[in-house]
Amino acid sequence: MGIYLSAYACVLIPLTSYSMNIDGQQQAPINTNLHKKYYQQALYYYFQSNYSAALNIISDSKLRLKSLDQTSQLFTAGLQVSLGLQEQAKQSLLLFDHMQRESKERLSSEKPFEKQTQKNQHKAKSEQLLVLALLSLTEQFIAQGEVMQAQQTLAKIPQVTQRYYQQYHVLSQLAYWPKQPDLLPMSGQEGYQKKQNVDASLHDVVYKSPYIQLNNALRLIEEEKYTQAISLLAMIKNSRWQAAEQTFWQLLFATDKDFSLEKQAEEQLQNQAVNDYARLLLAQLYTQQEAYEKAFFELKTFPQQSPYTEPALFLFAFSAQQVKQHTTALSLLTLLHEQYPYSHLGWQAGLLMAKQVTEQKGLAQGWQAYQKVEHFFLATIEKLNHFEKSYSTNAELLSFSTTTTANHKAVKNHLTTPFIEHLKLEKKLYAPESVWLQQALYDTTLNSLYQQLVELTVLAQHNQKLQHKNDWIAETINLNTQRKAGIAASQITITQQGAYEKLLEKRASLSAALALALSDPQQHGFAFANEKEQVLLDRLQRSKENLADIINYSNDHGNKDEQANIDDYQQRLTRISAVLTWQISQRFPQRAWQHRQQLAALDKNLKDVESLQKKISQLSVDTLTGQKTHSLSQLSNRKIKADKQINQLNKHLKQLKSKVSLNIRIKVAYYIDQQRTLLTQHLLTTRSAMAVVLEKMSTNDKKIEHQLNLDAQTVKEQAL
Amino acid sequence: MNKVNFIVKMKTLTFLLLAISGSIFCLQQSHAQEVSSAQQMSTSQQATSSALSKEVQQLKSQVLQLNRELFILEEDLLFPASTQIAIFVSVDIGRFFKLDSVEIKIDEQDVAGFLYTDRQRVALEQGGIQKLYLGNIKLGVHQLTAIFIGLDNEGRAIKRAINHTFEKEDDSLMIELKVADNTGNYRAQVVVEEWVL
Repeated sequence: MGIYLSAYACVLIPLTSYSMNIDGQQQAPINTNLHKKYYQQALYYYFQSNYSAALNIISDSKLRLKSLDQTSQLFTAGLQVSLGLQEQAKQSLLLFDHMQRESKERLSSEKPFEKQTQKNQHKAKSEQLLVLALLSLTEQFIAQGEVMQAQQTLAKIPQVTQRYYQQYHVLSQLAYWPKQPDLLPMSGQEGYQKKQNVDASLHDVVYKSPYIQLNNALRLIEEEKYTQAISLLAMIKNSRWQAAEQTFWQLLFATDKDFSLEKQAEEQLQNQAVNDYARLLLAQLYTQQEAYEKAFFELKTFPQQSPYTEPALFLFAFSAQQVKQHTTALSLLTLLHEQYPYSHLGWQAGLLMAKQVTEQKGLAQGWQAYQKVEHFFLATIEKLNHFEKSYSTNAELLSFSTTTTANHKAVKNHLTTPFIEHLKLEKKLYAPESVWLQQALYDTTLNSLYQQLVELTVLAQHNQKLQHKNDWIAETINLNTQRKAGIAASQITITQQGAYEKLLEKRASLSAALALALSDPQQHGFAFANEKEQVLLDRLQRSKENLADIINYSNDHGNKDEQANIDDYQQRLTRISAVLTWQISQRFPQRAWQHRQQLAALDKNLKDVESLQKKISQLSVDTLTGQKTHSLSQLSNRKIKADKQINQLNKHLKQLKSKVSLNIRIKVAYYIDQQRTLLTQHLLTTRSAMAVVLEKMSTNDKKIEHQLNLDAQTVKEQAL
Repeated sequence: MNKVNFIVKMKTLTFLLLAISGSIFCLQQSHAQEVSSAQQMSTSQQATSSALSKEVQQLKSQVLQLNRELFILEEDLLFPASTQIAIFVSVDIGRFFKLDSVEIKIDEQDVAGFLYTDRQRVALEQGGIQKLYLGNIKLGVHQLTAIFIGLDNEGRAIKRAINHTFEKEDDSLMIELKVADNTGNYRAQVVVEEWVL
């Protein structure tokens, strides 16, 4: 974790802060740096090895923010490399390079007074990252056997610092092999802090690194400078090295990154492999120079557990034979022949073994040994024919010879590919059980083709999922359309009923009543009476009307007795009315204020309703005309577009899958032919050796017969 | 460098095989012819494989692009900007607080919860930001409550909580909850940052 943090701190943050500085005029200071936030979201997935999700986040940011900053651009390239998208990674790196140049120009024009060291710092770091990315890309191309692409990528590297020189050197050797690559000189830019004071010991470390030295040794062998090669290999086989610490960006671009990998164990394995390889090369050189004894002693202590055990065993047996260590040679050849029945070295070992038996143990035993070897070759050819038949009749290449057990680790050869499922990247294995196919897959081109087939199969499955998702989106759009139609219909109903207008009318009448009451409280003060008071006022009114009726009736019929009662009624009515009026007038100011407040609140509510109504109308219009960016009609158009794309992709996937399958079949058929030719050659060699043995046996028999005849004749003569 | 190592090994093996078989079986002439024809075939096959590889990459890129487009389409459909709210979690640097889980409430309603694996926690400590919640809310004022549960640097279980009042307007709303180390009191604190778009 410390490594990532330190790398993150030293490489990542300066770049980001720089980009913020130079973009200062584009982004207001209060705005959040969304580029950085998206990048950090991608990092969250990246650190969980979910590269496709991380790439999705970065692409999403590019779509939404219309651009990417330098860090995100480089990060995109790294993720594309991780996902095996080399072409896209190349494009991203070109863009990164372009952005770099632009920012350099801006830096020099916008901040001419900035310290030179700061400018150099930024330049050096950006260039370092670009070099690292290009180197990783080259490594991938070499792994896929695309040497031309690797050479082109290497040619784009402007300069190489000490940190990456070892990788650059080895990759150049591999890309141009057997030609001599035109290497760039090591740049001292990395030590800009030391002001051009390049550390000489670091130079030594880089040049004496195991991979560079091994490649140098190979080069010397190729140029037939054997003495120098031998002394170099003798030095390498006993040396130990410490792997350099990897930075965040190195890990990002590394295709075999594993965050939980035990570093020490890995380092030890690499050291061992380098030593063994040097020792094997040394023994091979001795054998070439016919210094068999030296080769024999060199391989005597070769470790049993090594990636190079098989060739070492063969070479050891061969040198043992040459130094007359016949028993050792015979046991080694037998072991090799039995343990590696599908290997060329194993086949050759069988022949050598039979030859030695013939020489050491006589013709009869030699004949038997040759017979066994002949039988072995015939059986192997038969197995090869069987493999050919079953392979050609198998329709689905990836289901051929797949293991049913979960013991994948036991299988030597396997293919890995990123597997995208629910935006989660996982590893998918194709591990054939057939040893023939495993051997064939050592060929880089075939391996790469199988890798492509696995990827295409995974992509087809993923495309299926996208189709389901698109169908689901269509269903959701449909449901939303129905819902919106319902809302629009109810809105129309509300409009038709004129509910809002009625509310406005009511409000207007209330406002008028309030204004009237306020203008003349004495006359219209009753407008604020509460429910109970209103009942009393109504009763009072009814009583006044009744009294008026009584007065009229009394006047019409001349009933003067009633006048006393009428007066009494009138007095009582006046009294009650005065009390009620007084009570209401007492409460008038408070009630008037309350009503004013309520009216203001009502006004606000009506305004809100009005704006909401306008908004709904606008939305409704936008939906119909499709003017809103995320309107359902636009979403629906996007869905239809996606549908078309899915169909096209399906078509392309099918076409490409059949193309790749055809190529694989051709390649495997070629491999089978090669093996068959080789086996037939070995069979012929065995049979010719058998013929020689038979001839020798026959000559011997004839000699014996002749001798016996002579002896018989002598005896006969003596008897006569 | 593992891959380089592997390639070096393969090159050497080929080299050894050619040399040894040549010296032992005197099949140089026929073998040389085979090697040259094999090389020719290999070059043409490499070219085919390279072309196919480019096509596969292109298709893969298209599938990824389509995946992204559908992802955005889904988001635009389900979470329109006018109602969208997204809540993010980040950790800066996490020395005083080892994040174990988080609970999020909006207006007293549980909306999200998350239990972290070691890998997810480390991803946050290394600078990652997690999109914890994406949902829809009405316009207006709301209250967000976040409760972070974890361990302090001595391994004791602790909680850190925060209440934040925010107003949802027409644009997408993005809120980042940052568990930040406070070197002043050697404690972690939750800081809320509303992203300004």
